[in-house]
Amino acid sequence: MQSLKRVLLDFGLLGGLSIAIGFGVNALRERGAIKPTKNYFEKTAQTPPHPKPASRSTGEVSPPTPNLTTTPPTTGTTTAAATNKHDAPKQPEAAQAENSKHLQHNYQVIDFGELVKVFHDPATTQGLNLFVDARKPDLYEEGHIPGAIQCDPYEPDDALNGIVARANGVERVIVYCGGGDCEDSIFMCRELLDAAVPYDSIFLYPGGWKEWSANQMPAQAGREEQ
Amino acid sequence: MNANGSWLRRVDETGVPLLLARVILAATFIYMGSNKVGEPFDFLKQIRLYQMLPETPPIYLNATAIVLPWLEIVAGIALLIGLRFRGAAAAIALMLLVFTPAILIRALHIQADTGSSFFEIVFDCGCGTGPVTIWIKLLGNVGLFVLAFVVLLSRSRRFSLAAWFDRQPSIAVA
Repeated sequence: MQSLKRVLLDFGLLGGLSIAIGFGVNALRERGAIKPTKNYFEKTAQTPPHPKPASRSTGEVSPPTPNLTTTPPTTGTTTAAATNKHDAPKQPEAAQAENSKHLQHNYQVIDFGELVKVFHDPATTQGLNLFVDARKPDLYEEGHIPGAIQCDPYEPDDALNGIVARANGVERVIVYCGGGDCEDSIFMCRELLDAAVPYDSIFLYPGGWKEWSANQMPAQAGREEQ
Repeated sequence: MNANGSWLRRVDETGVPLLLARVILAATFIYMGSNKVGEPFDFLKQIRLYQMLPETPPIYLNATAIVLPWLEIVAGIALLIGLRFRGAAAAIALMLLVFTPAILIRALHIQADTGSSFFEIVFDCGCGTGPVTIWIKLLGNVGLFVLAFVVLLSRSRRFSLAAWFDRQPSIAVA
């Protein structure tokens, strides 16, 4: 009995020490700090979708418009895996199984075929279509869609400010991550929406880097000049 | 029975089984905890996938991701130096008791969804070791659980800092 009491006491002591160290280190770290009260997995924006500015909807900026696959903001729920079923490269079975459970969202979707059109669109070279890579920096630096800006949805901060500043002058902000069972692009869309980027401008590319690279599309390594 | 009991006790009194169990557990959990501390958001994403904690309010999930890797490291260090090591073994046994069935359930769900053989299921369990073959991981966890019980049940205190403190006059630390 005495021994059990001592084990429980030690357990509590080590637990308390771990809580103190964990929160202490988390508060001190510059990168990778988890905000205890932030919901990182909220897929829909906490603020209502912002309407598209009138100047852009009336056609002041008018790049060629591709036939985008979209989902209405209020009613639609899209399963990303189903959206690009025919184009997506084969995924591991475990990843496919988890897709259906987690990859639901209410953002506009752009599939591979349409993304290729947008990528080769002159408007893209003029900077009117912005690509956002929501993967981790090391993966981004290994290879990304040329021109894409890397922004981690869990630590958006500076990169997000840069994207928001540019997003007001662009037609589309196209967000992607690894593809397959990756949800980070969905969370990035929510960050954009929370940062007042108009809902109509935000497009999710569910195929992600996996599909883009599997189709031998252009890639760029290292960081972009931003 | 008595003969078996005394034989086990003699082996236990050498302190070697306890030392082995402590070192293996310490190395494993310090390694896995360090990997998680290095990539906190990866761990946060992984523990969310087990659906054991609610996403709202987020404090439960986030606090678990902040504290759990450090509990592994602190418990590992306690085992390695031999101080408060039975409490550390209890913490490790509890973590294994919670996460091993959770890994099994997640694997069974994947098996049901994909129809693949249980022995072919590979995923990142958030254990700090990347994608693993799940049946091997489960076996490993059972082994670690047994080692945690060796530490809990052993009466030896040899090769530990606690024993050294015991020998010092006017210092009494478990």
